[in-house]
Amino acid sequence: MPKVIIPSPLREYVDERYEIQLEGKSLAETIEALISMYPDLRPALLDTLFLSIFINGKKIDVEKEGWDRVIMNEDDEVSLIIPIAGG
Amino acid sequence: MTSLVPSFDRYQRQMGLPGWGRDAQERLRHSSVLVAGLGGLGSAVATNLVLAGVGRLRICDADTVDVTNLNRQFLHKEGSIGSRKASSAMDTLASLNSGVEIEPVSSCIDAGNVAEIAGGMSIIVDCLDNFEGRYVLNRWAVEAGIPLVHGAVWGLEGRVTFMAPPRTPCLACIFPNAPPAGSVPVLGAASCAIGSLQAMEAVKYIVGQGRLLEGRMLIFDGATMRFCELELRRNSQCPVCGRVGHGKNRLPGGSGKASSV
Repeated sequence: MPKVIIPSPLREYVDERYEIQLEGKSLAETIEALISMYPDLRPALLDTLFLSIFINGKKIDVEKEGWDRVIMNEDDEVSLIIPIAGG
Repeated sequence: MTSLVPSFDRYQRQMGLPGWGRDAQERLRHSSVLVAGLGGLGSAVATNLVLAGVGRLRICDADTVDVTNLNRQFLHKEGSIGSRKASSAMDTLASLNSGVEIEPVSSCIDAGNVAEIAGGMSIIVDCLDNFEGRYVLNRWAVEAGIPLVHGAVWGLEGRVTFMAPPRTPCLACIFPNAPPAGSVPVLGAASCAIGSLQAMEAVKYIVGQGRLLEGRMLIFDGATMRFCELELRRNSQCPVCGRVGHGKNRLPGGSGKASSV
């Protein structure tokens, strides 16, 4: 199953879990499964102004490629990247 | 300032690194670095650069030392509470290596003063705690053609990347938008780890050794003790660096290799 890595600032919404394995054939299904498990994540994940998504270290242009057209593979690792500025 | 310790003896252990030697130490001695922000990251960056023997270190922070800084900002001591961070940091750094010229600046970096603060530097290390200042520094670095080492922390997690458009994206390519600044939780060991990695990048660039984090963002999560790497790409429409020529190799070191200054 694809694995989603949760960045530190969002862990409070997922019971402080570091990573979550989810069923999902597409990126859309994977993210929907995550939101359905943790609805409080919805605002952060749908706010594409700040959110960037990387799969296996490569950035996905979700606007261009489309959430549902990005096909997930068994061992894919999804990184949710939001800006942090702590110094 | 005259160093109290013979200038090269103290660097013996790093001069013994393969490919370094006296030439590398001379490059460090002739370099100048701006450390923007003297918090958790800045403490680790400035300390490492002073110990490594950079010639000139400009340290900039407008804040005064607060008691809540002391869990991670080891440049400042209990007796420094209420003092200017730039002044407090200068005292600590000068006591570590009297051979380094340290220039304290107690200013908040903005579009009006960035050229004066960052001008003439070999490289900039961004240790600020807000995107407003980071964007100002990024824009100036892109326009001036000076490399910038980005670092940021949150909790036990942090990120580092080396920016030098057009070889790499700039901060605005990676994060075109950012939320307003706020107080975030940070463990000192996390900011120390990330700051040390930023200093490593700056030293590698100056000395011309190793492979820089160009077009790559290193993410360290202290909670899981996991490092991962993201591939970064330029945004050709970036309002900050989009007009900087694609495909040019401005750094003299060659593909992916650190360059001399």
